[in-house]
Amino acid sequence: MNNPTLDLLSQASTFTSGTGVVTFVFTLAMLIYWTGAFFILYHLIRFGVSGQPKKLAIIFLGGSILLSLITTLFYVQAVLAA
Amino acid sequence: MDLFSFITKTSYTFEGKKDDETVLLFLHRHWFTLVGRITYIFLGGFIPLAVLVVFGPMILSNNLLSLFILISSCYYMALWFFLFYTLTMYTLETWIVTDKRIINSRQCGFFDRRISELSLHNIQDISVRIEGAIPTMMGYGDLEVQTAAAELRFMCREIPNPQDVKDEITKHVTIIREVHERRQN
Repeated sequence: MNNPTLDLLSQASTFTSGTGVVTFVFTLAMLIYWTGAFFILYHLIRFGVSGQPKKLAIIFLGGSILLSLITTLFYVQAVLAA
Repeated sequence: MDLFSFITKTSYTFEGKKDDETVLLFLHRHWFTLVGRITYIFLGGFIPLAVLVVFGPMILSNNLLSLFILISSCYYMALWFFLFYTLTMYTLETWIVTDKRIINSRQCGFFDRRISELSLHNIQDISVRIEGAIPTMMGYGDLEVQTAAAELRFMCREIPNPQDVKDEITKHVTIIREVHERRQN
């Protein structure tokens, strides 16, 4: 029989375990990073004069996607290793 | 049709540009003013390697290598972000000299954008200041434009070849005055 209190406690213990905290911190870090990245891209494209800021925006976006993929790969590796 | 034409076909067009306005000069701070900040970011890239060299045995013995690599890759993402934040602030600080006015646009953080402009016919005096050994060698300095209003000054900071910029602005101020005098006569 399902006990909602026990379920909640179980979920809470999973969350506070190592993997849960790492997942939460990783998701938060990614969210903060991509919010900041959006502001950089927006400013470069919206306010940049001439072609140079647009080129910078493309390089930044490419590098950000690549670094995010690499970091996600390492995150999966770390979670599997835990 | 060129797919990426939006990158190159926006040369020297800016918000508020008038149809009959021609861009004479497009200025940024001298690239050398970026060197200090970029060097800090570059040196920051070696920190995870230094940590690995110093605490490597401890990380390996506690089986924390995968966590260390994860934290390091997050750190490199942060460095990438700060590198481009610095470049963005540098790129978005511009002085545009047109045949009618000088426009200074400055980005001091994401949510603080300052734009000021000055009509060329209001210019009374232009002075150049190159102070210090590095600016003298690298050829950059400040350009101060004094307007008719006693206190109002317009500063172009750390721009390359300020003397040439001064000559160019002076030339166009003279042209504008001559045209104005001819119209009056």
